[in-house]
Amino acid sequence: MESTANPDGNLTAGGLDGQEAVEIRPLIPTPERLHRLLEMDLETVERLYKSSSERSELVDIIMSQQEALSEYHNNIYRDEISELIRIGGERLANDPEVSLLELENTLLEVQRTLAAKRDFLTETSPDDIPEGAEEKGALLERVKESEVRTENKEERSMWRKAWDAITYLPRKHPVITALLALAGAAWGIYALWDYLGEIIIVPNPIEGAGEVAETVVAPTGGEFSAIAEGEIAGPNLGTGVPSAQPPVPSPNVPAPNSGIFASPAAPPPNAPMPPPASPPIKNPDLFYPDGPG
Amino acid sequence: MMNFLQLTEDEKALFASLPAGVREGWEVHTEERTFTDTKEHFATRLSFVRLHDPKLHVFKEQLEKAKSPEEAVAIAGEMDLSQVKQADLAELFFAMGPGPLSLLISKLLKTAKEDTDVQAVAALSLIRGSLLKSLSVHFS
Repeated sequence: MESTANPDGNLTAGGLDGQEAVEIRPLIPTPERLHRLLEMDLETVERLYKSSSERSELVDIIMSQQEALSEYHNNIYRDEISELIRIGGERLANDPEVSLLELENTLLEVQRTLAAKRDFLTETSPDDIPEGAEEKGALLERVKESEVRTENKEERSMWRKAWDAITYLPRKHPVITALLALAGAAWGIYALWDYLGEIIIVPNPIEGAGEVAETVVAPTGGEFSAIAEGEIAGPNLGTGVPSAQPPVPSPNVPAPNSGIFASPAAPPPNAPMPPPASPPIKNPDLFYPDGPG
Repeated sequence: MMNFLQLTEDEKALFASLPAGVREGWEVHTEERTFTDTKEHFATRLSFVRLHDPKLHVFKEQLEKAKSPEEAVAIAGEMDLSQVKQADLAELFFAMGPGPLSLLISKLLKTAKEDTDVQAVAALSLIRGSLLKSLSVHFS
């Protein structure tokens, strides 16, 4: 790549022509942006982008420009870029008419989620970054730049104590139940979903199982099919929260050797494309009614 | 040393209503950070949960074989989290988000009877603080 790119992916021949400081921010890899950044034919970018078998080629091309791109973007790491392109590619393949804005919003949501998760895991599990994890060095470098790194031994010790306090909670403790219900939901097993009704207001069943499924799996895919009404009713804990008809997804088994910061496992072979981004929530407080959350 | 609690004003009031013996030795800090969560954020976080602990995978297999919700609930009731890798727990807490954690904290504060109960609150409030920090940095 001979020319440099500004944060929006616009190329400027011979380098940046302005005197202004350039803000370094994440690359949100839409095909249009990659087309401009990488000086590649748009059709070729879109073909690679949408093809699950050729997508890695596009990632390789981006990573080959890592040094140059990192001057303007702070997320040029294989795991994150691969994930963003996978999500974007699936979205585009599933909905060729998706607008650039919608695609960008989906990718932005995913990028922010991944970044927040990386910071959170790094702070809360400082001793649990697996040896040999892909790009561990790069990850640690990113952590150094992060505002949420775990500073010292005392803080590490505090986190160990915190996790001990959680892991030694007795069986059937509401915290454990909630975590297990979440694990089930993440695997696509919704038999415990109603437990979450105590703490997370689940989508109203009136929306229909299809919409619930879209809501729950967006935007990274997973197979869902509606379940016959009443087949799995789930326990009703008397919370007054309406129970969703639990959608039944296919198992979503993570790759056994992927690190905690690694890209998530590939979706099941028959996973559908990610659904469109959820419509704006008119009143988010309905879903998280209390507290600082 | 984990001897402090990071509580909202409402939670501080709940803590103050606990017996003196239960409150003894705990330093209370105010949690002022906020994050407005949404269904979309939650769905995205949930879709990125990656669990690696074999103990959880055994649980998953059992859960898949459950023939009824009652059976699934019984399986969950047999499960504890001892020896489950903290990274996996962190994955789940991240998916949960700070709002539900706040509800759990309030719930525990209302029923706390001994120091171990407060320790759980302290741990949860610490985790919530980290969640609020991470999410607000990237979604601001």
